[in-house]
Amino acid sequence: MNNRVVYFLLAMLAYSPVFAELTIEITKGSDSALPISIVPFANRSGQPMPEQIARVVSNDLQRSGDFDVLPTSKMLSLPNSSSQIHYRDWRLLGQNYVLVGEVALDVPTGNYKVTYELVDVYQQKRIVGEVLSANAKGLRKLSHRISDRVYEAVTGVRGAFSTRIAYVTSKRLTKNKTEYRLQVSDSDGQNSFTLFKSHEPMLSPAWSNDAQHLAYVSFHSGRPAIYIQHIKSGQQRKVTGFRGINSSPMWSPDDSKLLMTLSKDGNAEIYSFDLASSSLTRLTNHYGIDTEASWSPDGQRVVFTSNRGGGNPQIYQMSIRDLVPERISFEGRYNARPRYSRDGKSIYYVHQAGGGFHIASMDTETLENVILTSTPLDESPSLSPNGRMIIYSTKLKGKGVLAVVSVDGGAKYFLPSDHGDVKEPAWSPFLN
Amino acid sequence: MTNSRSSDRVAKNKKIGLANPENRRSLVFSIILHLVMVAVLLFSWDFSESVKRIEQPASMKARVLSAAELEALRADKQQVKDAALKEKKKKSDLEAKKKRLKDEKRRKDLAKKKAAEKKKQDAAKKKALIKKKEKEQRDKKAREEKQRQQEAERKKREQEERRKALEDSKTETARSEKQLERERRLAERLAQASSSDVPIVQDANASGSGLAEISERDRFIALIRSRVESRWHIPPKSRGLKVVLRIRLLPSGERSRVEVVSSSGSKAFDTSALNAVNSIRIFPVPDDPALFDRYFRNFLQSFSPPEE
Repeated sequence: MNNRVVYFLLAMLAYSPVFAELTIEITKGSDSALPISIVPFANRSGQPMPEQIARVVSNDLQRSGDFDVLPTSKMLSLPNSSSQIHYRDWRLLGQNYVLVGEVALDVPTGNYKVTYELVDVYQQKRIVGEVLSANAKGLRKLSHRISDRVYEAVTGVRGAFSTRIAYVTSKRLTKNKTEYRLQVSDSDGQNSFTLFKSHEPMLSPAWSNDAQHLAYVSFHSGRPAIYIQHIKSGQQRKVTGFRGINSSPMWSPDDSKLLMTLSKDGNAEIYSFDLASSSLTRLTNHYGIDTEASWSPDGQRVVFTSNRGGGNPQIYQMSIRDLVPERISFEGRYNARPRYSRDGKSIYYVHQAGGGFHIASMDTETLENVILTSTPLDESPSLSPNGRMIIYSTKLKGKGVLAVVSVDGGAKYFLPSDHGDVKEPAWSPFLN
Repeated sequence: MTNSRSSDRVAKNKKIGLANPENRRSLVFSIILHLVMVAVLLFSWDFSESVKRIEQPASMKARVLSAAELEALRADKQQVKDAALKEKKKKSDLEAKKKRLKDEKRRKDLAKKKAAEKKKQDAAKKKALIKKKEKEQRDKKAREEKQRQQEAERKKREQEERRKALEDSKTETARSEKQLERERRLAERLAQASSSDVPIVQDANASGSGLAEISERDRFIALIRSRVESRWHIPPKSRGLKVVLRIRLLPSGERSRVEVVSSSGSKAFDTSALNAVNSIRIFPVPDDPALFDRYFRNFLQSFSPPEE
């Protein structure tokens, strides 16, 4: 009995807050990007560096839009390790984080040993540190890896700097001869190489989820056909070459199937192609055009473009189980080429507004939408694997270029082009 | 709870009888326990209200008004008894008001939720109907118009409710016109403080002496808040996260200790809040040592990203 009373009283006391305290609620943050300093890495190799690691990392972080990188000229000191850091200096400069490091060269193997540390200025402690090694050619990749680690340590979101992009370039050689290339490059547009070259157009490159293959449409045989190409070996496989339209290939989440648009049965319909058995399953059946299909990340839904609602392209979504399309875009007369975000909660698509075509995003639950880009002719959005950036093609001074914008509409930059007009970008999944 | 306990007792009475000394002891025990419970409940209730955020610093109000009352006491000692009575009444009035404010807020939230639901349903219905672009545009306009109307209606309703609540309190307690005016201003100021982060600095000195302390406190809350907000870099994908920090300051405003009281579960998010606070070496605090001790020597700060 006594025990029960004691327990009861204890329980009551536990529920009663004993102290009256002031709580200040903070529900707004600074609009500016996070201040970070990337100090040039000390070069102890005894030779000129083939790659400026700090510069690559600075560019990566600055482009993400989430960071504001301090110019080297404004730094009060140039430490190379956390022990050399005078925190007061960096606080004075208003910096939250400082990245320091150094590079040594192992002469017999030709390998560079890169040591780096990221310190939190206000907590006065190191939060990431690693020793990495790479040969001269691998230094750029190594730098992107450092960017990834820094990005994740600070934001909690995996960095996507070590990923790749695929895109199609076209360059006019003579009056009636154009060269088309399917290119693959690092996510910053560097280190590009040609996967396939032809004098006929190529379209719609799509990465397999293991990042090993690209599926795309090529006209090089004289009419459109869908191909799969292994990136490392360059080996190409023709998947379909039906009469009429063969377009918009898109991998299933497990890479076992391709969604595609075929017109072999009359007009453009969406099919699922099983890569192992080469069998086709028809998913839509309507006299309107159905095209540009994409799987949801859980493989349960398909989103696509259709003009079945009265002539204008709009976005429809259907469950893979019942295949009943439901219209989900209602704003404006043109909404097309939808793609799911990695968590399946948003759809990114092309939206016509005010005479121009822009990239927009839509919440799959509430169907609320936001326009993300402002250039006039924006096409083919593709999301970075960490869901933070969108790459798309647009026109700049009459030339096709690739642009990247952050999903919250903040940062924006253009990627350089080396072979004429650039189109149809596709951002790879994480590479490992 | 009391019912089950007394039925318990009845059951026991049947078994052993009330004459049993042990039984009598437990009866006494039970009475004491009830008294303790009541005391604890009163105690905890009083305080749980005062922990609420600044929209409803009800207990602060009580303190402040009592200070004003004390001045009145000094002026006229004969009214000691009256004042005490009045004070008691005021307290209960305040509590009633507190409750009303709370109820009102709940009502408002409910109305908002309902409106949101209604909006969602409307959108679904519309979805099915939309077929032609002209109609789309018309619908969009209508929706916007409706939203505007709803917003206007909601505002009107809120105002009406607030006015009514104040009127009720007037008839109920027949308080002086001045007090009512004071309360109205306070309610407005609180509403302002909750709707926007603009500190209510300008009219701090203009208001009555009782309010001076609250406005002084609010002023420094607003100063601290804007200082911290300007230093807080919210990490991406933070929607729905919340971290609470305890901050201890020296009377000079110098930060002495910061710790996480309740983590958001995300290290990056917790760190972003810690860094915001740690980037400020000296916080703006009042010169008045009593005010400092009461609120700013040791306080909590919660961080949650804006809802979109």
